[in-house]
Amino acid sequence: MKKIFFVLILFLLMIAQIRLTSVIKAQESRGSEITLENLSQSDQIIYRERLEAEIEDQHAQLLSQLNTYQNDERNFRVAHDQYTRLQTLNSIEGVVNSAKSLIKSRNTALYSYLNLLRLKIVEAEGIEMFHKERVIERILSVQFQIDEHSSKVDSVVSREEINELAEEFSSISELITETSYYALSVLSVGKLQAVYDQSVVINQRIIEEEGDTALIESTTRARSLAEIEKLISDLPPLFQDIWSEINLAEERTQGYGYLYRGLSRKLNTIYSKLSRLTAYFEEVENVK
Amino acid sequence: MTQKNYKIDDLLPSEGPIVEWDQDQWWLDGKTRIKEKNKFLQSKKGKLTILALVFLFVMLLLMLVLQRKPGTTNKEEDINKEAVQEANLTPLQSQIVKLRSQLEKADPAIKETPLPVVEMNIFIEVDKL
Repeated sequence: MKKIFFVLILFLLMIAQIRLTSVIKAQESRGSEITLENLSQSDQIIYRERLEAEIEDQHAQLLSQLNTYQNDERNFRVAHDQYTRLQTLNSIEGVVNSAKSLIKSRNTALYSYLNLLRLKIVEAEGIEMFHKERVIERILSVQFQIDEHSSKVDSVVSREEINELAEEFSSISELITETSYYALSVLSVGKLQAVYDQSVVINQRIIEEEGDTALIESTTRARSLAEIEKLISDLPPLFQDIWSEINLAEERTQGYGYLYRGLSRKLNTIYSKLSRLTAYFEEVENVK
Repeated sequence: MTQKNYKIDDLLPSEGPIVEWDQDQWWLDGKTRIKEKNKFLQSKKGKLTILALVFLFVMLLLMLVLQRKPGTTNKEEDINKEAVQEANLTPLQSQIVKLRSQLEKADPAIKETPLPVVEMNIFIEVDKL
């Protein structure tokens, strides 16, 4: 009886193992080759939903990690204050330990933040593949450096070693800032670019439908479509200008931080034009 | 083990009813009754059936968990889609409605998650002591 029971359990575990391995392998192989373009429509929806869920999850994780960071920072401030006032061996121990915790929680939060940006980049539409790949590559490289830095924290025992770690981190922090602003820039431009791409498709459909019904003969209608066409042709140079600025930011000394701060005005111009274009579409197609 | 037939007279020498007591028969009857009660569950067949049922249940549960796909919940897009269908819009009109909602999300005033403000230079002054 016991033998039969064990055989059944073993059989069950074997089936579960085989099934799980195949699922994981399938996910891994999909994960390495996945681009939204080579998926079917239903798979695209499932993939997008998974990404959205992952982004939400990552966001929640980041918030909780930032909370931990804030607590650790408060503890560090208190320990540092005691260290400067009391100057005891106990206070040195306290400040070193709290600094170690703070470094760890800061690195964890920054790692998560970069991960969140990476997921958003993967999910985003309207970003050129070249930029997508370059940002993701950079994020992964910075994450690796953060990981390495974090692994050194445990072995640290003195104040001097904490300061060495701080010096080491200064170069990583620059990379984090630059990579983040690069990602944020392409994300904000990409969103508007996606709206523009969609507008072009809609305009094409309107023109096709006009061709079918011969409504174009109406003068008012023809004028409306000409206005839409004009607005559509106004936008590509604006986008080109921004994309080339993003390309040039790599070589400029001010970098992506400067670029991101200066983007708002240009993006607002594009946004207002796209908003007018959408309003025209709504008017032409009687969408209330 | 040897059993003996007792007579009540042996125990109560003068008065009282005489009861014939067959200990062996009583023992066998009791045993049979108990056996009959749990016959199925205690038999090999019963145990195997229960085991097979448990096995099937676990397998079914495993299959359900592994083949579960996300997307069963109603999301904002689905609700929008339903709203579009309800309003009897043409495909082109619904595309424009979607464009409007996409545009609202792309408003540059809505900033992407900014870089967290954290202390990048965690330093302890050594000369203080």
